[in-house]
Amino acid sequence: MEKILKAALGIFFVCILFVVSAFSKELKVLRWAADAESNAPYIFQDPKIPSNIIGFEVDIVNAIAEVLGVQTQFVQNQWDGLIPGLYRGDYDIAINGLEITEDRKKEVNFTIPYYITYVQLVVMKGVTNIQSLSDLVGRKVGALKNSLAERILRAKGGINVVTYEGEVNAFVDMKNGRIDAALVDAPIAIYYTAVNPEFEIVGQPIGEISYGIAVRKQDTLLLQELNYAIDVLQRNGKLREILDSWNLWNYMMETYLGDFSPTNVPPKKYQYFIESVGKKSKFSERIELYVKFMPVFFEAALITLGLSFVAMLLAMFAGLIIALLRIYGGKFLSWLAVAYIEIIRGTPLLIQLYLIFYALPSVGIKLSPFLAAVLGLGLNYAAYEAEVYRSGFFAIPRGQMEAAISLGMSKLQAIRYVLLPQTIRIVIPPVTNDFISLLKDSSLVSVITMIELTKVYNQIASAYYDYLGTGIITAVLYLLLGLPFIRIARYFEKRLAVERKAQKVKE
Amino acid sequence: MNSAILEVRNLTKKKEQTVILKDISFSVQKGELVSIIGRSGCGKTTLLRCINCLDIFDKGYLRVSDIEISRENSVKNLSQRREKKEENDFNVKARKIRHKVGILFQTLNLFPHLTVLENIILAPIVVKKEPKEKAIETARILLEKVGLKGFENRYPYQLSGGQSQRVAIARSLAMNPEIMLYDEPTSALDPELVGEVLNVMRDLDSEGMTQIVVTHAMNFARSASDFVIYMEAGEIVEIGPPNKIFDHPSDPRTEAYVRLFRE
Repeated sequence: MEKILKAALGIFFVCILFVVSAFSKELKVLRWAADAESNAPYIFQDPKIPSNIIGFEVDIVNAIAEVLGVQTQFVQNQWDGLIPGLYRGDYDIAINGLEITEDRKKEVNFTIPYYITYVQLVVMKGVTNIQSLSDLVGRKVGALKNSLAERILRAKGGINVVTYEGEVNAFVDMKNGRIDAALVDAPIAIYYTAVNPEFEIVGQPIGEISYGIAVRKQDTLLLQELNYAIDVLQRNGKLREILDSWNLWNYMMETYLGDFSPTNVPPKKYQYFIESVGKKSKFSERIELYVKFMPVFFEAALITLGLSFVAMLLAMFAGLIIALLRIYGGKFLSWLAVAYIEIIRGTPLLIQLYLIFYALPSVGIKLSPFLAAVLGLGLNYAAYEAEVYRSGFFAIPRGQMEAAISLGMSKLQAIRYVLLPQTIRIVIPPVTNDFISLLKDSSLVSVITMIELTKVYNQIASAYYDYLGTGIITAVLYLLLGLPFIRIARYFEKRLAVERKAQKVKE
Repeated sequence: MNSAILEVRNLTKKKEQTVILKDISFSVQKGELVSIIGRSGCGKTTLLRCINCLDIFDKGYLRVSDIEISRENSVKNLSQRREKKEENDFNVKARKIRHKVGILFQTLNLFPHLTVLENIILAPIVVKKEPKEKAIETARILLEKVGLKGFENRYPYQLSGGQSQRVAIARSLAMNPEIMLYDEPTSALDPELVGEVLNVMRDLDSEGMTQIVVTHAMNFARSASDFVIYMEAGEIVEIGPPNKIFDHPSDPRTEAYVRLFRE
């Protein structure tokens, strides 16, 4: 029965092949999105060449593209943003351990599964009293937020569930004794325990997870095309070959594809990973590794600096205008300025970034990630700079304005030639300080697909399970970026203090 | 229209319910030096600010050279549009008047971010659109006149109080005013610096500049003024030549005030 069904499905796919091949000619590049910090074996940075993205899902995408005869283009996006990003139109498909669930199906269409797996309990080596779900009652157990594992744990009842943004965080917490066990997707369990021997997998496989590729609801043709390609890969053994090479072939896939033959492809990608990450490297090897990361870190640091710089210019310019409107704008404009300042300062930057990036396209304004990041950071800091300018203006004696007016200047001329230059000198130190804090806040823009310093840190750290060394490198880079500006602020502060002192003595 | 360069008639100013200036009338001929004296809070500074239109008077008439401003008390009855128009008219005339009237304040208010020279040439370049070379040339002459030749490139914080006030005078003169107003120009200065500022004013007087000084420097008022105005509680009590005001005042209030300085 099953065989007939599959054959029918096959014929169906062959039929739409013609439609699809016509479509393929249009679709030259398959833009696919994933989060490159989603750990091995999904999608992660090549331990030997950090600028390369590898993983079993990368291999699957490439195989699909080969079947369809198209090029691929990788688009980095935060895992949480993968589905919203589809509708922004930055990419056409999302593939990144996305479980096919009813909730998600309301928002997107899923292809047929390209991988089926289960969840698995992980404990510290030597723990013998945890073997199954029943053993977890009354204990603290970690799981990925919104995952099947979390649902299973909650359904069991009586378990103290602790949720995490990433599985690695759960493992670290377990090591530190904060939780007793973690329930995670099998691929993660296999890869993490392989290179961290102080952990081990226990008990039987639990549950079932099907991963599918997400596409926009309206892209039905693309969906058919992808389904066709996955089907081809399932039939010609290519999918199994990929999974075998990553050591991910399991009994569920055997049943799903009706292929019970023994594995004959060596798990060489799995071994490559184990070899490059697994062995506890010596200090000198670590250093060597860090040196290898440096170009990637430097590039990201430059992006952070450039982004912050442009955003700060915008903030200073917009802030000045807002401050002027607030002080001199008359009733309505000054009310408007106050409203802007209060709203922007009173709402989280993160939400503002999401609104600019994901909500504006629905009214027809689609900004590039860089522009959205600059706008988000710049307009947010403009509210703060406006207040800095305002206090700067008020620090100038009233007599300055009167002196200028009495010399025949208009109010505008007085502001431009007399008040503004003095205000700028007064606000240089606080504005520079704000720039340093903007530099650090810029790490938030990774949520809108910008790959900057913090994002690269997360990617590399998760690829190597090394949060300490790379964390220190990242922190030092931020410090180095900010240092020259701290110096500038101090210089101007000192100079201003000298002039003020002289002024005081005279008065 | 009489020949006076400044004419003030029935000028009145209120702040909420308090009358600050009441029915002030006087006129000044070209080249005269007038001192306004009186106790603190008597309204003399406000009067000066009204002449320069830094403060708006409520009622009365003001003429500087050929520019006249008349104000009625009935502003409240005007429609909003009329009121707006009235205000605009006032502002336009106010700027014209400020072109003709320079003012020196009690507090030192040179622009601290500019050098002495830049302080002086800023307004001529920005307001009168003078070419920079010409403005600098004028500025150098004025600096020499106030005795500060060679101070061009100093910053205000490098000057003494007396030097600052003299630069401020030069800065006002650079706009080529017809009248100079001084609001207690020396009261913020150390006693030994007062003379240098007053001397500049004497020099200007001899060159024919019209000047009005609000001052507590009685010796200066007595020796340099063409006539003296004594004010009390927002009113002019007595106007007259210095020797009359200081030696034979006709009003007992003036008498009471000037006696304070006789010892």
